[in-house]
Amino acid sequence: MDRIVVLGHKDHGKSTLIGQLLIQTNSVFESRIAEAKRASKRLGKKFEPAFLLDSFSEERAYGLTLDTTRAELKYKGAAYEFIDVPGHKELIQNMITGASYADSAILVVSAKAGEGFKDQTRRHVFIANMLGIDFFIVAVNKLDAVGYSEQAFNKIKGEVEAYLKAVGINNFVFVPVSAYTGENLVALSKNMKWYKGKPLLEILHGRVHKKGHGHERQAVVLLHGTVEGERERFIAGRVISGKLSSKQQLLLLPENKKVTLLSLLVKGKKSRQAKKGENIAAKLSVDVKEPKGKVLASTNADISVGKKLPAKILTVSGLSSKLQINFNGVLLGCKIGKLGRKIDILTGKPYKHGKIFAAECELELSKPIVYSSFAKYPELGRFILLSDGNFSGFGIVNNRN
Amino acid sequence: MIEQDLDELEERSIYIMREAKEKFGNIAALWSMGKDSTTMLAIARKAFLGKVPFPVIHIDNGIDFPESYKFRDDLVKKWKLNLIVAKSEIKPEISGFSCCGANKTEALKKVMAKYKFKALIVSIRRDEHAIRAKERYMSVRDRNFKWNYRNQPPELWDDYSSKIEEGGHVRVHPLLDWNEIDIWRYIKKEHIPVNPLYFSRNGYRYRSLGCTHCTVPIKSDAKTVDDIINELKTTNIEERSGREQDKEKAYIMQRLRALGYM
Repeated sequence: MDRIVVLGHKDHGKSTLIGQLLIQTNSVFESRIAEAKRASKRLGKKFEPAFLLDSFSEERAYGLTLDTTRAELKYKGAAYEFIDVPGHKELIQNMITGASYADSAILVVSAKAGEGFKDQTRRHVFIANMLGIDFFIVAVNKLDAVGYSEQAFNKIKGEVEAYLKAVGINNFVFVPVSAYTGENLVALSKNMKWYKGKPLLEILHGRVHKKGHGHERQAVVLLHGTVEGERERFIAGRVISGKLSSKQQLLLLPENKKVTLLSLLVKGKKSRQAKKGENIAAKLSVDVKEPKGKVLASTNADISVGKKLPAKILTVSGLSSKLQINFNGVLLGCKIGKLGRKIDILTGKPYKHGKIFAAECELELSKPIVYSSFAKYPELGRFILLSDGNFSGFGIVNNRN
Repeated sequence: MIEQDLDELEERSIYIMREAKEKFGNIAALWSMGKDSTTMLAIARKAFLGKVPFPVIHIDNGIDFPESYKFRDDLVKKWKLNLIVAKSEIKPEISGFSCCGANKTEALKKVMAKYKFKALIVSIRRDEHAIRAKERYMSVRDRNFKWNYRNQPPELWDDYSSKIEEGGHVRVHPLLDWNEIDIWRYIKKEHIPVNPLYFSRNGYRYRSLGCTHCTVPIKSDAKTVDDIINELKTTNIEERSGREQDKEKAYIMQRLRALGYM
């Protein structure tokens, strides 16, 4: 299933857009719509499609999304999961949580006077792009509030396009919509005859996606623990690339030791093979102590072991001197070595001051870990940063130059 | 109702349960003898090589259906389950919100305190209820069982690194991504035993099971798992329409869950 995160500034219509998509594709029970209608009425509002997503009483009373949620719809035989996230900057970690599960994004930007392309929208784009999302449908929203003006659409389009290009995103499509009235979402609206493109859902549907990373042949297993069998202990892990066969020769990292896969269990049963996405239990020719974060890989897989990583980091709350990294569940102390120039995530341009930034750097860890570049094996090239024990950002591993 | 890739769902559930066991060690699962928590146990048997390596808790207020008790005892024997029965006292004058809140949640608190479980596997699904859709895969509860839904910790990718305070625990939700129809398709594929109350008798069946006081059956002629799957493909009625709890005042589920209900 395709996962699409809906991004943008608060009150620009993210939840409303998903709510309308659910209604127009018949993907929501009548009773849920009735409940949302009752709730709207109790608050003295007209029907709010956003209430199909915003289920907390506080979210409805204050008209905002507090936390991320998901909803599915089916369109022309394909299933899509939409991830709603909060637009407020105080809730940025909930936005990051939602976006980390997505393959592509819809960016909602209101064309209404006084709203427009805001800082928080820029920040969302930057974060989503760093999380690996490289396709954006830009839904220029609230066209009903500006007389369905092509000029208003073009003004926003020009601003957003300039920013996307400045931060290195070239894969995007623009569509003028009115989420509240449900126009140009599933069908073209006669109020915007000047628009020659497709409705939003059709753009999403027509997209060719799920590109491989080009390194899919080498078997790579990320270990995360052990499971007890009747008489013996197995190591547990998940295949993140390629295919694995029992009796195969593999490299155990970080030990850099050649091992043989003596037995392999998939879904609790003995198996000769395991493929990408499957959880395995395995017996090796050697004993593995503390498997968490260790890796089994084909001898020719391009994976590194080390304490110094070339990385790109992004912080949402600044970095303290007591910095830690969570790398695949392993918590380690870390220092920022050579820090490259800071990028202002609002403008995409270099800047000197401020706590909220992205930067290239060299990370120095307290212990060696197994890693690859994010581009090669995403699971081995991403991490979470903690300042004084609290979430303060995330990062990805760059290719070594 | 949207049908998802069962292999993908199963693998995610296996991963989450293994992570929970690895991370927290002393864990337990809630088992209502319903289709979801029984499916969860079937997946646990795959994750942990043929056995369920943690106790299963039945919160028993003494008014569950007779069929459920029999189903429970049969499966405990068949799957060699380590069953903990948490008796909750039922007071006839209390129902709905107060019943689920006061009785079930209180009984659960006692069990959690007695065995000092660090995590509790609960088989909620996002499509069941809009409030449950707001959950994380792993969700922290404080020592008073409170769900601080206004400030949930981030949960990026598949990393579940939430911290627990002393005396608190983590709710683990391995079935969060599953839809009702996926559960039934999986039951069919894996031949998982099902509580007989789900099948139609005299034109009625239970679609969602609570206790006898607060659950009513729906009109249905579905007598087999296949019938149920077909019924769900075209239904326009919500799963929990037979649950009184969900029909009381607005935001009942939010209030219940914030106080520690599942």
